[in-house]
Amino acid sequence: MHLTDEQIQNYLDKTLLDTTSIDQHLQQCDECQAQLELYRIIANGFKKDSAPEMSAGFVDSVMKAIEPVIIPETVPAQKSFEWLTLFGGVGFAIVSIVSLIYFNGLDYFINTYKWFSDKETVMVDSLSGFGKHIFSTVGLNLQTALFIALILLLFGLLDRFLLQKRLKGMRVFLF
Amino acid sequence: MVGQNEKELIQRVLTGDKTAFRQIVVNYQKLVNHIVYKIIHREADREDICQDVFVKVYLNLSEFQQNSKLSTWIGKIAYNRCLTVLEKKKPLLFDDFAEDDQTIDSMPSDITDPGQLAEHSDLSVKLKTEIDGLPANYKTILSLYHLDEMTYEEIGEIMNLPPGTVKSYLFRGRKLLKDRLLQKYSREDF
Repeated sequence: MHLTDEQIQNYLDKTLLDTTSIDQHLQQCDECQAQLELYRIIANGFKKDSAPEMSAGFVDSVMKAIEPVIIPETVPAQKSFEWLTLFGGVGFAIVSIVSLIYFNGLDYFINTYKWFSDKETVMVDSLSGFGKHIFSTVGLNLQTALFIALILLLFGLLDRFLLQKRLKGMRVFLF
Repeated sequence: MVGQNEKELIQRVLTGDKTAFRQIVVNYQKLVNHIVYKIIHREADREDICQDVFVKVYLNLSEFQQNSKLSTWIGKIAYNRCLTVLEKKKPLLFDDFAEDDQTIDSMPSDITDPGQLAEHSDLSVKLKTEIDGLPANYKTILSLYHLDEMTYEEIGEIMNLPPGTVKSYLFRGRKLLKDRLLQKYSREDF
C-alpha cells in the first residue's frame, strides 16, 4: 500500500504533527520516495521560477509617477474622531436651535422653519415638473422608464455575478 | 500584523517622506512582480501594471488598517489590479483562469509536440514549460506559497479565497504538474 498524494504533499509541506509512520514507509518504498522527490523538484522549480527582474529604472519611474500626487493625509482617520465629529455636529445644531428660540422667541423659529419648508416644496415641485417635461419630450412615461432601468440593473447585476464566479474559478449554472 | 519597522516606514510616508516610500517599493517590487507575472501574459503590460499598483499603494496608504501584513495588503492590491485589467479584456480572462475542478484536470498542456519536448532536455526548462502551462490562479497560488513563502491564510487574503480552497488549489496544482511530467517524460529524466 503506497502513500497518497495528499500524504506526500503534507509531508513535503511539513504540516504533519507525527511523521513516524511516513518516515518508516519511505525508507522501505522506492516508489513513494520517487514520488516525494518529484514533488520536491516541483516545489524547488517554483522557487527558481521567479519573474524576470524589473527594469533598472522601475523604482525611479514609480517615484516619478507619484511626484505630482498630493501627499495622503498624514494621520489615518481615527474612529473616535468620527464620533467626535458626529456628536459635535449634533450638539452645535441643538445649541443653535435653543439660542434662536431663546433670543428671538418660538414664533420666529416657527416662521424660519416654515420659510425653509416652503422653499423645499417649491424646489421639489420644480424638479418634478422638469422631470415630467423631459419624459413628455422624449415620449416616455415614468412606468416605462422605471421598467427599462430595472431591466438594465438586472443585466448589470447578472454580469457582475457571472464575472465574479468566473474570476474565482467557480462553476456557474451549466457553463 | 505590521512590524515596528514597517509601522515607522508607513508613518514616515504619511508625513510626506518620499524616500520612505521608495524603500517600500524596493521591499515589495518582487512580490508585486511575481503576482503580475503569473497572471498577465502580455509582457509589455506587466511593468505598467506594477507601477499602477505602487501608485495605488501610495494613494491608499492612509487607509491601511495595519491589522494585516503590509505584504498581504500590497499583494491584494496587485491581484485586484490584475483582475481589473483582465476584466477589461474579457475574452482573455476565460483562457487564463481555470473555471472548475473538471476543466483543470482535463486541461491539456501547451506543449505536446514531440519535437518541442525533445528540445526541453534540461529539467528546469521542462518544469518551467509545464508551470507556464498552468492556469493563472494555480500558478499564482503555487508561486506565492513556494517562492514568497506565504501561508494559506495570507494567500487567501490576497486572492479573496478561504484558506481551505487555497490548500486544495495548491495540492491539485502540484499533482497536475507531477502527472503531466510523468506522462511526458520518463523517470530517468528527473
